[in-house]
Amino acid sequence: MSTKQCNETRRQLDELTLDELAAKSLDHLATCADCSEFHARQTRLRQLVGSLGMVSAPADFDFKLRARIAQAEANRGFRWVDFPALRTGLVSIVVLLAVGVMFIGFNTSSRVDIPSVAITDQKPVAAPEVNPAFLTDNHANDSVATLPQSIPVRNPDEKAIKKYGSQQTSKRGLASLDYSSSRAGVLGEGSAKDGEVFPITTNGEPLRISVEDKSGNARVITVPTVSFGSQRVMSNQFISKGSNW
Amino acid sequence: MNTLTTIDELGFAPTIQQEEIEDTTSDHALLEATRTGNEDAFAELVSRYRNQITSYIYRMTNDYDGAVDLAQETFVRVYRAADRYQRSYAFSTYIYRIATNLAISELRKRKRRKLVSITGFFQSNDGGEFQELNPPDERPLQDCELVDAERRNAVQRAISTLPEKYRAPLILRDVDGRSYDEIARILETSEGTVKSRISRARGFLREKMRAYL
Repeated sequence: MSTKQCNETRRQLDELTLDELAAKSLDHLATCADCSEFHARQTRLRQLVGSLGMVSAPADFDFKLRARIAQAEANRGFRWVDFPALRTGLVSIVVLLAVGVMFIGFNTSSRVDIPSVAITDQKPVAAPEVNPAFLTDNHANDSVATLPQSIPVRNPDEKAIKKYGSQQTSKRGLASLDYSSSRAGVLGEGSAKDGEVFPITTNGEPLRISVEDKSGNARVITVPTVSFGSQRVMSNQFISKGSNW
Repeated sequence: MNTLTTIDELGFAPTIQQEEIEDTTSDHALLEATRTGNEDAFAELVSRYRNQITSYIYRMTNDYDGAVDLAQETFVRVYRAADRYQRSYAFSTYIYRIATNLAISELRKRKRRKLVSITGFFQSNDGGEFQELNPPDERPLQDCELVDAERRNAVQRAISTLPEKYRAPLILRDVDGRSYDEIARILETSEGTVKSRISRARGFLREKMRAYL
């Protein structure tokens, strides 16, 4: 008995009918007892399975089917599949709306309302009028200098300040006055008035003011520089509130 | 001798009429008519396939009431999908594919619920090997009809223990007598796979039905 031939014969017996079997397999089937036994059992099995036959549907199959279809159609409702044009149109509208909302949102978020206050557009800070008699020649070489009408003197560190200071304020959108691009005004001789605030620059050195009352008493006041960011302010206690100290 | 002078006498007319009748009553034509709202055409389709589909699903599920329900569901799906039906393959292939999918889906639901008939066979937990819960009564029966009935029941129970991937091709081939090519199209697989599965299914059945062979 050839195992290879047995396998081939049994494969053909599985897939084909006896009439379709190859001649070689038929010859082998006639001589091989195992394959003959396999064929007999296989045939019997197929007869048994084939004997199951067909089962009939119940008599009321059609009636129940009609009722079921009617119910299914009633419950079907609206289906997008049935209206492809409507579905496409609605999808297009939704997409357009989404794109529009995104565009508006992007524009709103990128626009920053910053009150741009240019220092040159402002009125020059009025210099307080100072009695010329208060300013003596002894202090002419001090940091006290002429108070300008405007503030044209530019800070040497203007670039750096502009680079960082202005960008930060513009991004945050804060309403603030930007003094970073201009130098603080210098108190001029005979131009300051009592009781008025005026910008002072001391280049890092303390401000010294020499005052003298009508009775001839002279006094020198040294004011340290106080700095808040780009603004320089002087404490109110040093502002003269009148002609008398 | 009379001379044949008319087309009817020549015998061509009946042939032409027969072709027209066959064309209008084909499954494709009936489904086309169903699509246009012809209820009679659909009724004709149902009458052609109701027994085949019910029987096929019953062999797959071994549950007659469930098979009738699934057969009706098959026709409902055919009716509702009539608009989308394509003639790329035979209608019988199309409806058997729907029935197969429904039957396999039902078998998987049962498997999840672990609803196994205690009168049938069941597959052991260690996999592969089949066990018989109720061994066949090998005592000789007096009535031949009872013998045949017992054999058929045994075959049906044995088939119901087969894994679904072996069960469907075996039923389609050995019960319904369909070709390998059609079975492959119904099951959406290759012909070689179908042959292999049928051979494997027969091997399982031979083991199960040893007492009857």
